[in-house]
Amino acid sequence: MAVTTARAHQRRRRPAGSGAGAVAGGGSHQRRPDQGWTETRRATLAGYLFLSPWLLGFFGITALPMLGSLALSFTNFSGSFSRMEWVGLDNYRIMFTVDPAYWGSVRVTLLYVLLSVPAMLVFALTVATLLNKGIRALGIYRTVFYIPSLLGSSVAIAVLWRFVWGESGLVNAVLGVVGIDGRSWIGNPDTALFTIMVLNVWTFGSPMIIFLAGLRQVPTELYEAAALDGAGRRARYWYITLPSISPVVLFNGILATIGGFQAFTQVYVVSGGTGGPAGSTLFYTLLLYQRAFTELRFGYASAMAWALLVVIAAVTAAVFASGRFWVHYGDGEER
Amino acid sequence: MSYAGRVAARPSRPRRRYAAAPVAALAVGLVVAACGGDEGDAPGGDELSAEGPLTIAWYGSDARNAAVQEVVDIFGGQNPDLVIETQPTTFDGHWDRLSVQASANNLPCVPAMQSRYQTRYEDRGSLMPLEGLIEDGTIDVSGIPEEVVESNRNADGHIYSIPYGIWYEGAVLNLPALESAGVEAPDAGNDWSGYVDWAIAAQPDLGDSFALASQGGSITQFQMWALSQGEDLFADDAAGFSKETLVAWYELWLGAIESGATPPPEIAAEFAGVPTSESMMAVGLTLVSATGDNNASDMQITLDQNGLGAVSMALAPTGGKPQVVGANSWAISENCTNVAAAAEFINFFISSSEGAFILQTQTGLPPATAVAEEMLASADVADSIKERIALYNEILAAGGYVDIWPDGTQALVGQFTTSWEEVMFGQTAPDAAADAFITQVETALSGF
Amino acid sequence: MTAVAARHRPHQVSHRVQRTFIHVGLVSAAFVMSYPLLWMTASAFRPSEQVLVEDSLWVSTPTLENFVNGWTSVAQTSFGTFFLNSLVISALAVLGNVLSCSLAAYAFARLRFPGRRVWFALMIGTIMLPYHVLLIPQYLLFNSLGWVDTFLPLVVPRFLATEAFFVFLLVQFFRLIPKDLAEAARIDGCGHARIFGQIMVPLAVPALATTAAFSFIWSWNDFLNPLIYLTSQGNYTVPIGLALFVDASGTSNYGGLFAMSLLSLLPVIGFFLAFQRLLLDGISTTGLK
Repeated sequence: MAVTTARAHQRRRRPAGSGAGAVAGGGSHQRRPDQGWTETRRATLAGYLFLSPWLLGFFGITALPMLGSLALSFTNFSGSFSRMEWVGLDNYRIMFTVDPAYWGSVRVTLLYVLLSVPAMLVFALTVATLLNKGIRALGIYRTVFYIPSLLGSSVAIAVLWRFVWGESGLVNAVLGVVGIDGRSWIGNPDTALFTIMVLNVWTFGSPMIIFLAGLRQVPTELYEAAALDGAGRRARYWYITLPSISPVVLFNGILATIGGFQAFTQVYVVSGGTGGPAGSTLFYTLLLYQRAFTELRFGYASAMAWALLVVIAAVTAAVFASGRFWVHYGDGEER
Repeated sequence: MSYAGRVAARPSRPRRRYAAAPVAALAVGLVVAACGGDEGDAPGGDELSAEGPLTIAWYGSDARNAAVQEVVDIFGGQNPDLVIETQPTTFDGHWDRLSVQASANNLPCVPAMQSRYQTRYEDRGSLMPLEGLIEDGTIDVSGIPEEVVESNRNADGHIYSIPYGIWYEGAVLNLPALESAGVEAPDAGNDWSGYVDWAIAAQPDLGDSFALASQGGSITQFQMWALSQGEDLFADDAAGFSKETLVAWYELWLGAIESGATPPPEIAAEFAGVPTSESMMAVGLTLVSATGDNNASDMQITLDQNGLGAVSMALAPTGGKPQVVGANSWAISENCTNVAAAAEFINFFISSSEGAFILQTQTGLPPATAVAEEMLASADVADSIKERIALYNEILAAGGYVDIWPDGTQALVGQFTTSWEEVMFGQTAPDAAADAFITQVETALSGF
Repeated sequence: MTAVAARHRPHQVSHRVQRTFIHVGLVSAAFVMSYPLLWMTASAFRPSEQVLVEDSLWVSTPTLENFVNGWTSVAQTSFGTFFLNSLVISALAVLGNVLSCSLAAYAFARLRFPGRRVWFALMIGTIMLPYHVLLIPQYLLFNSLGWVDTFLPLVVPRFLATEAFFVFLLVQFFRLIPKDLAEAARIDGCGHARIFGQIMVPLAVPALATTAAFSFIWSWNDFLNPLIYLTSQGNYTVPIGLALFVDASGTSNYGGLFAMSLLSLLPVIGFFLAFQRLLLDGISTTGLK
């Protein structure tokens, strides 16, 4: 089957310079002998110039507090610097070997990341793909699908979720119609985490919008060329659409994974900050929050945060590295 | 003051404690911010600072906050030259914010404290000792029963917090509903085991309602149980109750679930994090429960909306033993620059009957005896409030006291609920859960 | 009818059937997903004693009492102040993020300079630390600058591209753009400023619109930072005001909560709708045809 990947198209396109030609307008090529050297210097200067706001923010606002929290993770800081003691690796030791809630929260968080993040992404991509078919009333659908995400961390979510998943809630009302006598989903330790996962999928608006923006940015010329090659609709989706938006897939994948590990607000609101019932929704960051703000053990919480950072960094690096095999950039560079 | 200066100023503490501080402070790069906040001696009236605005922070829902604001406005009216900045927010938001502000020595001048939370701020040197201001009469606490003031005295000998509102936890009964079911109300002299026995006997006559809301996950009610057994939540550096007491508590409530006198586990868990106004008692699901006296009116509002009865307060099921009460208090922060105004405000708030009539006990019962008596005598005060005041007087007369929780124990509230839920869902045996919780109490008290 | 048209018909019919299926699927999904919100909307118009009792969407006795009570429920100030504060902060956040993040993203996506990969890794790294542990160190920093109880701690970081999420987002979108375009422009003698302004920005309008929309929404919904930094009531934002409706320590006003939650959604939905056009039309305005 004569299917061509997006990457092959880009390669093929370059010599022809169809898009570029239009902008360049056949301009003259004035190359100076020392061009290679000045180009590098110019790019470096420009690079740091463009980067300067971020650099300023990084060093001025972000880096110091981050390092500060790292330093605090080796102390017993609990809100008073005058009473702070250096405790070495004690926080890390207690975390891994003593804290009775720690490994439970790791388990809950891993389950959540493994199950709900892929589900949410697949759902978001499916809906975005359907919405990208140029259908009527696209704007209305997009808004309706996005509204759940707009509610954000509003306390109203807690009320809504009990209204849906409670013993006398909406889900059981629907199940009752077909003769199933449902129990409380939100009050049962076996299903409470599931309702939080559904809540995560329910608020799929942000990745959906990003997928949609990516889909809108796929150059139509790629489809035209593929159509000429005789590729069917499904083949075009697999071999053109997906590779073309692969940088966006990578982005959503990484951000959703990081977001999954850091999931906090929804479960905080729904469980009233307890992580109940019976600790079944005690997420890592919820435990961290309790240790920091209920118990004022900021040093310990910082240690928890840095342990999490190491895990997230490893996972992210692995996903980035895997991108070498499946992410295709329009700029032709494989990174 | 320089860092070294601060170290030198407090020779009593071992120097080792400070070894890490400069390192971390340098890393944070904020040595200046990290310093300040000296624990001095309790100030007296003639040397009070009086600079800058008076900042006041408290917590509550919108209605309660509006009422407190009204009282603050009266004080502002009496002090037209004083700039007052108020920072009301929710209960959770208040403590989150205070903990960050305390780290930077940037607390509001007068932060609201609470008997379960204040020790951490007192022990960390964030609050100003007030006994000097009490002794010279700047803050007049003579109208408040001495034992109430004294129970605020920290282990270090200082008083940092002045109560402005008292609440207590007791049993709540839906008497009209019990009566219409033809069931006799439980005896107020019961302990929890007596209540459960009553519930099991009454349940067959109650139809869809449950006799009793499970208290298995409530550390407050467990404390009442411990008191009824002659024990308490905390002893000096250890749990104040025996393992047997906790195991008996778990088994008591497991038996209640089994007999159908309290709702099944999922329902109990679903209602665990719900505001009082939506609790099982408030929606008519249970006919007897326990709650704070200040929340009984929230239950009543919901019950009224559905015509499901009325709630009356009874003593906590301590089996006749003296029960503990809680207090909302005002404190003055160590970094306050207008101590004169702060002290004057506290003095006004605790003694103003005008304020008390505006608050209508939304922030707790007035601790000053004269104010409470004025409310008892007034025709403008609802009967339910008068009953609560009368019951409080009864508790005090029987030897009740304000229970100040040790530092580090706030998390136990949630941990107790989790332990019980694990028992309730059959994940942990009562024996093992009791062991685990006692370990958690000891860990919390050790300051780990 | 011509033979050509007849031959096309089966294809068109199947196409139409497919479209109908898609619409039916989307409409039912949309209904299921938005039922809780429709219920919240209905509840906002119910008398307060019915708010949590009624399951259906039907409002038998509509009333505006929740809106009136909710608007003025907070002492000394009204929700109008909160809305104004939220609007100012969110609008500045949009401006700051779009400007600063697109500049940084251009550098990461298109410029080759020493240290780029290290900075990029550090930039991604800043997303990974749970923000709760940064609250205190950051508070110390802003407190020492005297910024507490002003909008500055919520706004200034946005102008310094500290929300790495958006930098990363824009990097990925800039990298979708074929390199030939910029190459050609550079050969044309354009500087980076012009390539950025005249080629990259117009081509990345959907991504910039996404950045703007998300900046607005996230800033609008942010709770913890405004709670910590904005201490006086006059500076509160909408989410802080909303939280006051439901407090464990007192009577909870669900009617007011729902009414004000509904109102607080309006600016966000409005902003979202306004930027929809950019999201949608972005591509057609570019030279990529």
